[in-house]
Amino acid sequence: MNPFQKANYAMMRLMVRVMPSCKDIAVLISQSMDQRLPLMKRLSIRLHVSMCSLCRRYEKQLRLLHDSAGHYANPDENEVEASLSPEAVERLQNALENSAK
Amino acid sequence: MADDATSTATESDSEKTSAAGLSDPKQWVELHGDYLFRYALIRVRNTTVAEDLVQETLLAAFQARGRFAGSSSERSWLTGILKHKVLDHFRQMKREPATSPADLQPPELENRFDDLGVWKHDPALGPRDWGEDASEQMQRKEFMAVLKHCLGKLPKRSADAFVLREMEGAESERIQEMLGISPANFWVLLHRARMQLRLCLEQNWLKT
Repeated sequence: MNPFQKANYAMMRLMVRVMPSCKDIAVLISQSMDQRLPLMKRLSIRLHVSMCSLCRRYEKQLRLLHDSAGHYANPDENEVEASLSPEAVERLQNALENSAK
Repeated sequence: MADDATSTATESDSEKTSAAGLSDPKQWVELHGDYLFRYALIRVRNTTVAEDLVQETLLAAFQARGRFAGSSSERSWLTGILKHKVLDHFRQMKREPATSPADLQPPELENRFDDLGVWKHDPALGPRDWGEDASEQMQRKEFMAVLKHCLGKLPKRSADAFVLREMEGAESERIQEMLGISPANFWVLLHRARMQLRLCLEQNWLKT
């Protein structure tokens, strides 16, 4: 730990006695990405994150993960080398032709 | 017939050909097969299941071809049908044995915080600084490979919840109903999925 990190760690050890811990905030940060949280919960995230450099980082990284999942889900950008096996192609063609009869 | 199909394939890739606005169903495999396969594979993470879903999709599309409205491209129409098949697949999964204890208690998540629940400031556990260009890096092929590896290491239920929420963008309530789990269970699964993915990415991708 560098001196700044040491100071932040010491401060956060004090702060979590009167407010939610990083462990609790990590849960809330995740939930906030899936639903609109009540005002007090949103405020407690913002207050905590304004003081805690690692939760700030955690929140930012979950957003990056969210954005990258969007790219990952796009067949034009991901698994671009994957293709149907020749056997699968044949099976699909046969299935379609059979149902066309 | 193969030659015939290839030549028409290039022309009709983005253009509508037949009167109904759809190309000849015999060409669907060639035109869209790989794309649909990739779409399914990314989500269900299993080659056989992905192939089966593509087959179901093409057959369902064939049955429903009269109802194609032409308001979207042929490919996005087919993808829409596949999307439903993928969600159905996840829905059927809930009949599988319930979540195992290991799914709910991944040990590596328990030591991230100290006795008061404060991040440990341990560089090996993070969160470390990902750098200014992280979001750019995360669009690269190398990153996709690491994310795939990390998704594969998640407990299946966690990975399913993550795929449905972050890739399909399904609503939380719908996912709970699809997977047959309680809201509390859902929030835990998703929180742990994100936490584990974040750590796995940091450990496997950042150092490269």
